Amino acid sequence: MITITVPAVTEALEQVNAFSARLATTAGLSPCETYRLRLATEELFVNIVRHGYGADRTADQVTIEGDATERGVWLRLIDTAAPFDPFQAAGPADLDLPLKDREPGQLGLYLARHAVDAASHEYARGANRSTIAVFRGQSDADGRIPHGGHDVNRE
Amino acid sequence: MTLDTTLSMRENTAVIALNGDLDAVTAPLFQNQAERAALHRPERLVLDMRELGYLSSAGLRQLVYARQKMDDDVHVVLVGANEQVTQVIRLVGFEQSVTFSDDMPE
Repeated sequence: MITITVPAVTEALEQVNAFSARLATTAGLSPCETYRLRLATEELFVNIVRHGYGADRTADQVTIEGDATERGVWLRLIDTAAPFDPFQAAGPADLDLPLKDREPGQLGLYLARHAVDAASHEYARGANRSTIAVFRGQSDADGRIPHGGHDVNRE
Repeated sequence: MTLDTTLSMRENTAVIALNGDLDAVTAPLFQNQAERAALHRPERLVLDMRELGYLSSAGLRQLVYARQKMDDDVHVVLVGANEQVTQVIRLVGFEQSVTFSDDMPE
C-alpha cells in the first residue's frame, strides 16, 4: 500500500493525479480504466477541498492511500471535514435539460459514482474514509462508463 | 498536467482549441477563452478536442457556462473528442445539446 498526504487545495491535484497514475500503472489498468480512476479520484478530491473543508485551505489535509491488487486498484481518500458520504449525495436533477437551461455544477460526484466499479464510505474516528475501486476488464461492451455503487471489499 | 487554449474567430464561428487536460486546475483557462468568444456573439461555437486527453466535471461546468454566456440559438460543435471524453459528455446528457464531429466544420 502507498500513501500520500497533500494540502486541501485544488493545486494539489497534480500530486493526486500522479498517485492514481502510479497505482494504475502498477495494476496494469487499461487506458479507459486509468481514466476512470483518475476521474473519480479528482472528483472526490475536489469535492473535499471545495465543499468538505469549504474552500482551498492549506491548513487542512487530505490523505490518500491505495494499492494494486489482483483485480485492479483500490484507493481511499481520508479527510477530517464534516461527515459526508459522497456516494449517497443527491444526483443532478436536470440531466435531460439542454445546456442553456442547466445549472452549472453538481456533476462531479455523479461522474465519480459512475466511473468506479465499487465504492464505500465510512465516518470513523473523526474522519471520512471514501473508498473506490476500479477493476480490470469491467467496462461494458459498448464502452459506457459502468455504474458503481457496490460496496468495496477491503482487499 | 497542462492545458493550452487558443481562440480564433472565423466569420460567425468561434473556435476554441483545447490541447492537454481539462480538469479542476486548468478549467479557468477554458472559461477565460469562452468569455472572450462570447464577446463576439458567435452563431456557432466549435471546441477543437482533437488534442484533449482528459475532461472532468470542471470542464463540463465551463461548457455549460460558455453555452449560457452565448445566445440561445448558438450551435455547439465538439470536434475529435476521444472515446473517454465522449463517454463523459454522454453520461451527463450533453449529447442532445451538441454535435459531435470527427472533422473541423467548414
